[in-house]
Amino acid sequence: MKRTISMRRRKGQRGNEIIEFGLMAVFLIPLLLWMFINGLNLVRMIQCTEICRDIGNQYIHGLDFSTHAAQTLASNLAGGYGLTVSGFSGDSSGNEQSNASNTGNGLVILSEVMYAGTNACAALPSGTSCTNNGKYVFIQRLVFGNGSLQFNGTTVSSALGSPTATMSDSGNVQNYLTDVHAVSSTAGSLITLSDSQVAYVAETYFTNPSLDFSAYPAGGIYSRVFF
Amino acid sequence: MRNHKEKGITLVIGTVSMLMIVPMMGMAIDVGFLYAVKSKMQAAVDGAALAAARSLNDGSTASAQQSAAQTQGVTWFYANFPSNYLGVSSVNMTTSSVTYSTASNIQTIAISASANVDALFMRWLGFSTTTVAASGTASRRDLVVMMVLDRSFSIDIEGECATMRAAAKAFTGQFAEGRDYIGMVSFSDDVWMEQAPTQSFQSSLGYSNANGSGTGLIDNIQCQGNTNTAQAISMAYNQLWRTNLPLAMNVLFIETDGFPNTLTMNFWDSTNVVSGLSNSSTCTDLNNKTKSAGGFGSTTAIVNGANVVQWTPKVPIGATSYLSSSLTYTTGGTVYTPQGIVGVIGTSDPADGSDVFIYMQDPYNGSMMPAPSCNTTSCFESTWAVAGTSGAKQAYGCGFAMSSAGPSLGSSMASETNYSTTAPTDFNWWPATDVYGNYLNPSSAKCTGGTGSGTCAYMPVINYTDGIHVSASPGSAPSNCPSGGPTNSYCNFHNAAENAADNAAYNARAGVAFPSPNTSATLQATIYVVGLGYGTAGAPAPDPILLQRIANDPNGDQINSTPLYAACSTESTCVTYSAQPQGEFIYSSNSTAWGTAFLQIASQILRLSK
Repeated sequence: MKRTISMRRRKGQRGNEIIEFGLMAVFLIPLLLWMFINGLNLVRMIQCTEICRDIGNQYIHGLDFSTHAAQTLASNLAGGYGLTVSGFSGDSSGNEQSNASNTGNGLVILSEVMYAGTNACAALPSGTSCTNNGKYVFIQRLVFGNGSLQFNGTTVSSALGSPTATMSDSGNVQNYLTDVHAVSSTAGSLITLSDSQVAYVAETYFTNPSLDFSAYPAGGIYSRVFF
Repeated sequence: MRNHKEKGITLVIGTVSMLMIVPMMGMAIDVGFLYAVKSKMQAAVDGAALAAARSLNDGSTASAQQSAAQTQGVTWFYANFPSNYLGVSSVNMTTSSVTYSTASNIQTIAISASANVDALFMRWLGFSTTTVAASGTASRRDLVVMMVLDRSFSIDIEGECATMRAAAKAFTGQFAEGRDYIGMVSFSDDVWMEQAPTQSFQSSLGYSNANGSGTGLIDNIQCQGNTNTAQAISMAYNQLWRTNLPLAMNVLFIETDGFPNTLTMNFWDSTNVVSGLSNSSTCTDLNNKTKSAGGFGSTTAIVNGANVVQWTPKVPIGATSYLSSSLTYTTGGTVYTPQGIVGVIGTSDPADGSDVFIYMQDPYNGSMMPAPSCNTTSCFESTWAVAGTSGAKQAYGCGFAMSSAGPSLGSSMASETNYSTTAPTDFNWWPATDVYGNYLNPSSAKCTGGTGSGTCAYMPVINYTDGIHVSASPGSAPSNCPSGGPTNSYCNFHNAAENAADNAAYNARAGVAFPSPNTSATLQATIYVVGLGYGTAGAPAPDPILLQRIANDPNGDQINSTPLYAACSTESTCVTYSAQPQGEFIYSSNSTAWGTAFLQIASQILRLSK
């Protein structure tokens, strides 16, 4: 068989493209990977912000998130982000203050906080000491999703703190003017309220997929909106 | 074909193409960041707009309220959008970014914000920053709120009348003076239209809030007497109707600590030309004849002319009324309930220890408390009612005849004398409705579209033998009365009073057309209720299921850590109506929590007015 010139030349050039592609790949593959992770995280960041905003918007307009129906609505709203609420048990009226014994990748914390000043304390009967005068207090706290969620090995929690005062199954804090366990020690550093003014706060946590990237909040995406 | 000179061409092409690929990837990253900032900013603006709209109630003048809204809009925005978020710079959100407009009882807040986002990659191509902007709006409806405050004796027994007054003033302090409308009806046996809805409510009713406090009609409330809930609801609803603001949020806010146990009734049935008086009654008509002597046989024997005579007490409603013409009587430019044999009948409560009827009283001045100043044209005073030594105007010699010595009050109902009787012997029947058309024993046709096991009539009531009226002395007990419990007549009346209150609320939520020129809109009141408890054994307590029904609240107890009542759907006597506005009932189980319950209702109303 007669060998052609091109066949002869290829023998000497065999593997050149691989080598050249390899050299290019040194730059391209990390770039593409970085691009992929960034793009993914950016999309998640945007969507998690919007999920938080939408849940908070429904919260301030009166949707009762202590019910399974409302929590399921939030779960559907966060479709694909792993907000699981199937562990809902509820009391006889169908309310549950904390439905956080779920697996999944999401956690939602809703709070109603108030600055308890002199005017707020005036709501107490005469002679009753207003223990929480001058403090930010929780009026309502609702939690649903995965309460064991961790970012970088640390279990997530509300930036406002967690009230340990007695709460109803609808999340309403009892005796928030007189029970020291209703106080939020950090709310004042996040927003300034006047006497008796109320703020509604939606917080969401969603873990990142296994691909992580250090340019973003490690471990997941946290969003918070004050209404 | 590739020659020797083409060696490394892939690398060259690849490198050259990187000049295109890298900027494109950079642009993708930069645009992604822009969208992330935009998303965060939009959420921040939305939150700020809603908070600003809510702040429109802060301040006593329109300009002060707008200023508060602007300030709060800025505060909320920066709480939601940290200044260093993803390296943005030149964040622009000031009070001038919060604009305000108003139209037809709706205030709209518009907020805009912008920020410069530094480019990570595109700066190499000369695009160092990009401006991202977001805007949002939120509206707040004006409010028309009628407070319906129970000032019955039980509140005074527990020494908490002052607590109730303080809570009511904290409630008015939450709303916008000069913008919202708030009025007040107070009730015990009698119902006083204390204040029609006014934008100057803080100066007329009194208030307390962060800006200070003021005194007003709320401070004058004294607690004495029974619980005439049905009339209070109807009179308050009439004020919403007369205010005639269809685009505003129309609210009835009811506070009560006990059972409805009193009714304002007309014992003259003009349709069937028959009175409810019994043959044993000593009451006489205008011809000085008793029922057994042939009296009370015609309207002219009761009503003499257009205005007030002995048996023509009327309850004033105002210049106009939502009630149908069959339920009203107009003279001298004032609308009244129809003339007839009108009086107030009340009973004790189960917790009082004795099941008695209280003597028939004046609908305006019967609760042994000094009524607000009135005259016979602006507010009714029946001529049959005479002031006794206590000052109360009650029936002496007729309508449960009592001694002319007048009643003697005691620390409990059982210890009082000349005040009550165990049997309503002067009457054969109670009318089918109270003077406002609220049914004492409504048939299912009177309430439609209900969800739940309950029926239109909340409590079982036995009708009179004519099938039209309600029996004053039934031969058997209504089915819910316990064996060996209250007398048949007492229990039947008590059930009827609860039904009338429930039906009054149903009618207010069902709505009627607003008066001209807004007749195309319907006023469906949203009803909020605070039930006051005392947290002590033996103290009065409201009926939670009744108050759930009145508020049209399907939820169980959302406030107390140990729920005091269940969801409406699980209660055999509860019913809610999906076509009517859903309100909220709060059972405040002890007086320490009353004030916060009032504030919670105010907060909920403001929350939903957006």
